[in-house]
Amino acid sequence: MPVPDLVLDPALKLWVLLPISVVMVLVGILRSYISVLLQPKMKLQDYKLVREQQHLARLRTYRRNYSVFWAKQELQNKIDFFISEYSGTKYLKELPPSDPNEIKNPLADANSSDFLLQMVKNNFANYVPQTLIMWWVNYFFKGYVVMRLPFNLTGNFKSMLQQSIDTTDLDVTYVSAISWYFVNLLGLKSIYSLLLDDGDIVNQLMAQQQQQPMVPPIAGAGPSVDKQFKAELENLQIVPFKSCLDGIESRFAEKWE
Amino acid sequence: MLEQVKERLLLLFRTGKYAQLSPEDLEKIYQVSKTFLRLNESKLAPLEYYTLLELHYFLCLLTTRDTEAKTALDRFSDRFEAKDSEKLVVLKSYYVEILGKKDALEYLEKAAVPLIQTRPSLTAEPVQHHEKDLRQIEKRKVALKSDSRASYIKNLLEYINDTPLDYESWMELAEQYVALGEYEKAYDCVQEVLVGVPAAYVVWCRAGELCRLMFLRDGRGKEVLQQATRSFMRAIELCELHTRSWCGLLAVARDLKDKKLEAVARNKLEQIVEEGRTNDTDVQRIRDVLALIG
Repeated sequence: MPVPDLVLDPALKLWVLLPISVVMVLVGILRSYISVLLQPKMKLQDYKLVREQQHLARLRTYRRNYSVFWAKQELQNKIDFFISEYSGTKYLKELPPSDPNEIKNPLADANSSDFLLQMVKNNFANYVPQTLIMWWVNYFFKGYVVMRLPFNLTGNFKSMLQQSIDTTDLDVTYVSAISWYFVNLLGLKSIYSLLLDDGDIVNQLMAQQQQQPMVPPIAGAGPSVDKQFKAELENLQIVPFKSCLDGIESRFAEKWE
Repeated sequence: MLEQVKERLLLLFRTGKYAQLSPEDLEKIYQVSKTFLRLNESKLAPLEYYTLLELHYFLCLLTTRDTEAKTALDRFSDRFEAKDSEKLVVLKSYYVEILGKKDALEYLEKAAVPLIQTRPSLTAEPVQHHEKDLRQIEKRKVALKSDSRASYIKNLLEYINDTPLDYESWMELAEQYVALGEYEKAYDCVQEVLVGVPAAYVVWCRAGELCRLMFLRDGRGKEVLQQATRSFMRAIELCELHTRSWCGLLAVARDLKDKKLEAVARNKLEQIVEEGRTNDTDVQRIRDVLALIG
């Protein structure tokens, strides 16, 4: 049985649709500036840490690009040098713990605890306004049917567009207030980019709103640095050597003679 | 037009080419950058604006316009604070260097103090910073505190030991060894750069030149020359129009008395000159090389 059309009060547009959108845009802009304020400052890194990581990366580039050497012996000389150089503790940021089973407390490490705090701050700046607006929409406009979409939709959209309306037979094209809130939440990107005039901030804002989960690196996890050095050295010793200069004469002759 | 000029200026800055330009070109670029910045300040994104301002600052210094350099510096200071920004301190040290290297060093030492000050932290043990944590300032100091080539090499080695992935410094070290005639050590440095950036044909070309220099110095066996040939060939394989490698190849072919290779290189160079495939200065240089070799 076809349900007769609902008559929607035109004042709904002015007093429900528009306020929700305007409030969301304003809150979004406010939040973007707050998040700029909350951004962490560039931190000075310990030169010992930089040194350790760069030497490790150096070994990795050797493993990747050994083909620039023209003879196995040349590479071997380098490897021998590296073995004597990197086997000790000279380049480690801190000496490996005497007890190999000792596990460091990740919260005692300044870097990781700062990182965690930053995450908390970001989440806070993200959750609080959203929760507030949602509460506000629910408090004032719960159960409102605010508009009708000008096109037909399948029944699957019912749960998305008609939240908080418990009428099973209502046509899907009617949209409830809280659903309008969700549509706004996901679809305001172009408005923000128009208003804020800066692609970076907008992308950040959208990324925050959609709340992509991020896995924090925890200090003390993974193999210790001296083990990483050892592993890289071992990897380097077993590379199957091949030079990019092998056969270059014939390649050259083929092309140019 | 705006985009094109911007891209060119940014490229000039990124490649560091502005440091090698002739005075006339510098003057021209300076005029371009001055007008461009004045007209488009509001249209540029902050990052681009400050990058171009940095280029403009160096152009001012290179064309001895001290007051304008100071103005550019002030614009940086309007936005950033010297007690927070290592980069700004480094930039400023170039301006101070006009007075003398000693002054610049003193300035760096003084400016580093607030940068490494321990900041109070509520959540964790405050981190003690070391002077060496300021890598950019350290790098700048290497250039300033060295009074002789030997001490320069020593300082560079020390710097590289802490940041072995800084290939710019490796290259600089190589050139210092070349000046001392220690080509083997220079070759080692160049090799290190190649491991990091294996597609850098300019570096392959330099490696070839070093091999040839070794040959010229002590007339060692043909292997070094072979090695030079292969390096040049690799450079050409990566970039067919790298004229310097073609010239090197021509020279090595003559040393090796390899008539066939010599003909190939000569033909290619003549072709490049005829078709005007490179800029005027390079064409002139190739002509000189060809005339010299005869």
